[in-house]
Amino acid sequence: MDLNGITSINKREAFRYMGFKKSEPNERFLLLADRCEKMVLDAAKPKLIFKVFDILSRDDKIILSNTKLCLPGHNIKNLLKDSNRCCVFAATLGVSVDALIRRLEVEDITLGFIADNLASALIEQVCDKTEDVIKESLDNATLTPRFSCGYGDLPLSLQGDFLSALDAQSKIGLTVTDTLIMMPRKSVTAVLGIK
Amino acid sequence: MTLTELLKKDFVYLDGGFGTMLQSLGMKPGENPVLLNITDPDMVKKVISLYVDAGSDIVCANTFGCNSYKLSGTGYTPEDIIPLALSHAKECAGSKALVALDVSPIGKLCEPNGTMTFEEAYEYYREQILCADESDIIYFATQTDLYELKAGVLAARENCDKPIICSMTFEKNGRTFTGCDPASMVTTLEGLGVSAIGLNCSLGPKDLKEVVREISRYCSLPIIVKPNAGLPDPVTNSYSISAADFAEEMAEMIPLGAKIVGGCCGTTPEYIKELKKRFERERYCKNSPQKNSAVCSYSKTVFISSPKIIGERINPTGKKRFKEALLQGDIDYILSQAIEQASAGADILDVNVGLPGVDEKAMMVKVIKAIQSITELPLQIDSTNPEVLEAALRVYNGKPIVNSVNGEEKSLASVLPIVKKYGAAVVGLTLDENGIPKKSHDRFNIAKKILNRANTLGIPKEDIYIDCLTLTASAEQDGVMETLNALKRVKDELGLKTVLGVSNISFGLPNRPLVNQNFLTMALTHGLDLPIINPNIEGMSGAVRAFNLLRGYDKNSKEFIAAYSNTDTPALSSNSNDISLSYAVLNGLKSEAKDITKNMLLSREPLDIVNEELIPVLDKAGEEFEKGKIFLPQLILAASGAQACFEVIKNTLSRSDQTSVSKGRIILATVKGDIHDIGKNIVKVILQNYGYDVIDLGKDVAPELIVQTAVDENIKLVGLSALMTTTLNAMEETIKQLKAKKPDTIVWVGGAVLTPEYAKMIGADYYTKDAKESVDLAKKIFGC
Repeated sequence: MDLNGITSINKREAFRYMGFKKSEPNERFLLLADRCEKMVLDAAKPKLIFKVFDILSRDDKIILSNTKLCLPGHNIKNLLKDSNRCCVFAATLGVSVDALIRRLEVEDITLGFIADNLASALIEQVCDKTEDVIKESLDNATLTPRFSCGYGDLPLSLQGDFLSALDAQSKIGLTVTDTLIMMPRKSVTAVLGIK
Repeated sequence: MTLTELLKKDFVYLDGGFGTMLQSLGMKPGENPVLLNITDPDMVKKVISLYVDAGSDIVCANTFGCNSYKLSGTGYTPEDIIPLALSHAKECAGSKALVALDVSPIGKLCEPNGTMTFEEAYEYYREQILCADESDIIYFATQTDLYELKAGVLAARENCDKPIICSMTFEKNGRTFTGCDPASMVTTLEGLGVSAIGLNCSLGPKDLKEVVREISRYCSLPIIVKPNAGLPDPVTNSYSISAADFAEEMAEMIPLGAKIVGGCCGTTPEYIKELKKRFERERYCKNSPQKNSAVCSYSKTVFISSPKIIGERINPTGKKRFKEALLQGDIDYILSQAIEQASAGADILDVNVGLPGVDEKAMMVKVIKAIQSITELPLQIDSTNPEVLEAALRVYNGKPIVNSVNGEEKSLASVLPIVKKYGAAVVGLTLDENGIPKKSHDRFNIAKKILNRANTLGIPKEDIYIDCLTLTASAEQDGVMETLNALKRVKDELGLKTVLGVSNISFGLPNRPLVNQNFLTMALTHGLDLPIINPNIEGMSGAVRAFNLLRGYDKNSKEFIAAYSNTDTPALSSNSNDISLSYAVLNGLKSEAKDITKNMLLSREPLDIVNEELIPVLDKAGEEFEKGKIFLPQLILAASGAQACFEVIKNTLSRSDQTSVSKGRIILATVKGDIHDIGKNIVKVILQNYGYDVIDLGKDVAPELIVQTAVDENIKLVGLSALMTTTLNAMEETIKQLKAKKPDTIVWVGGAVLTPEYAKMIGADYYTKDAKESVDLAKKIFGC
């Protein structure tokens, strides 16, 4: 996937992450944000992978076809209650965004901070885009909202299983540390019900 | 049969997909393929036998992913599986095929992108190599990180004598996931002495053709091409290209120099049969790349086909502020020097950290790792100590320049072998036991001697850059032309690239920049390829740019115009004459803040400026932040502005040998297992703004290192950061160890997942919710 269609970052969202509450960023800040936006968009090499699984049973946990991954908890059960299939996806901006943020933090902590938050906003946009791609490949089926491990009662410890189910390391270069942090940093995994 | 014998054939055939074959034979989803060597050896042997029958000359043992990281939790070690897997493969291969140990990436990202250190990666690979006695070839496949791959190749070279072949996995954009491009891959790996280089996996042949073309432009070794059968369908999982089409598309790789061919995911024995049938109608077209002088990082190759700038600023000689940074382990300052030179136009950065009182070897490794994490410029490793050079060469991610060897026997004997081993380029200084010869003729002879010695070790002449040595014009005026004449002869008669430190020429003279710039231009016209200069001085980097333009190297003046047209940089600064320090700081206007501080220093004491100007501004920002009038971004912006003032003040203080600003020394670290460090870095900058010395141990820091540093440096206050619930244990453990080994340490903690209650529970003395509170705490502890 390239950034096809994504030509700007949702800065309003990024400003919210940064902690601007009531106040509006001033002109100076907006200028810095524009500069960082360009750098983040240049550095981002978004990649995505998804697979569709049949839901085989949903008694104790959700059991999926052709994978070891299974999904425990009430939240996911509820999310998938009207679905016979679900889609698991992973998306990442790649390591070059991490490298950019690393450099900017040394050069000017403000720029590093802004770029970090812009990248967080961008990966969400990439996920939205990913949903469109998935939808299209499923003949415009209706999808539930995306749900990630670590949300509600779906344990974060499933992160590794999510990645293995997708072969995400070899397909998009996405890994997880022993402490369950995804590397590259700006990455998302999620499951969507297909209605 | 050996690989060398096999390579005498036109083409060498590898196998096809392994995992996808196992799946089609009934391997269950989620099952670990390497465990089948134990649980279902027949299935494994069936796949290999099918490939042997299809005509593969080299088959992979089922060892992909057989490292102790990926095996953790299975109850098995590489030692349990690799010898068995190799014997299965041997049994199938018989005398028909060679058996390769198939080595995958470890499975976690290597530094700086991830938490696995280079040394850990080496150990994981070494463990596998030590079990691979029965293999004929070590094959590193599907590699995406040049750094990790370098660790693997070194592990193989140092622990066995089998031929090594490597293929990396490229995306459509011609880069691997970690940003490696074909030129950097080839430049680095050829130097490390592997037998073949290429690509595998990711895409079908057609989509990888341009990558193969790019590899063949630089690579003089046999090229491996082992693509997928196109792309898998995300719903049905089937691959898109038929065996016949695959063979046809692969045939297009022949003119590009493909020699060792096979298939990856989605390909089957049928694909190998078709491939072989198609290739048998063709002859091998050996690629004959141009011989380049080139150095590279993991992602950027610098070809020395026209003069390139080596930045000289990462060097303590004559720089008090730099010495201070080295002694205090202030890596950020060193990194800022790298960034500044990179943006000023340096192509390569010289790195010298030799200083009495500093462990040069440890510091060199630390600095190299830090610099390569924030810039893609290739580095020149500058030390007189071969041990330091070797340590740096190991951890460097790419092909660096070694600075330097000279004509002395001792130097030749100790430096050249390591240059060869790590495949670096080397600077040869034209001096020997008798010092620097006065006459150009004698310097030329030393250059020749260095060339000959390097050649006997197999170091190609493209990798030798001769430094004819600049003497100061004020002391030895006649020496100027001797240097330049020697340079010209080395270039013309020996055909070697030349390098020269320029700034020394003007020592002792007034208007040094004028002399330097003119000498630089003279040297360039005499054939200098690599001026070592301060690129931040516009006249110097500008002279190189202008030379490249006038000499016709800079085609259509493209680079020159890009450097000077400056049209798309938005004006970020306003006129510093009419704004106050407070305004500049609060708006993060760094260059204005610097100018105003410099002006103030003309009439006021540095410490007065800190206490009477800077801190009140920060206090005011902090107060407004607390009251919710401004928010975190504005606080950070002010911190950036204040940081710029501070740098000016520190420079002034170290020049005049005055007491430092330090109000107290503090350790900061993100705990083991956690890699979120932006919050910690914000706290660091703000503490520094208030005049505290921060020892920043970075992220993912082991408790032992934190404790050791606190004890060695006698630190009273330690700040720990964690952002994940999964890393709070490490925080607790760190506090426990600190309290045991140094009970008087005060520990404060912060980070998104912490609360005051939890902080108390894990034994922290304080919790702060943000950078402002951290400063308040420091004030309380140090009483100022």
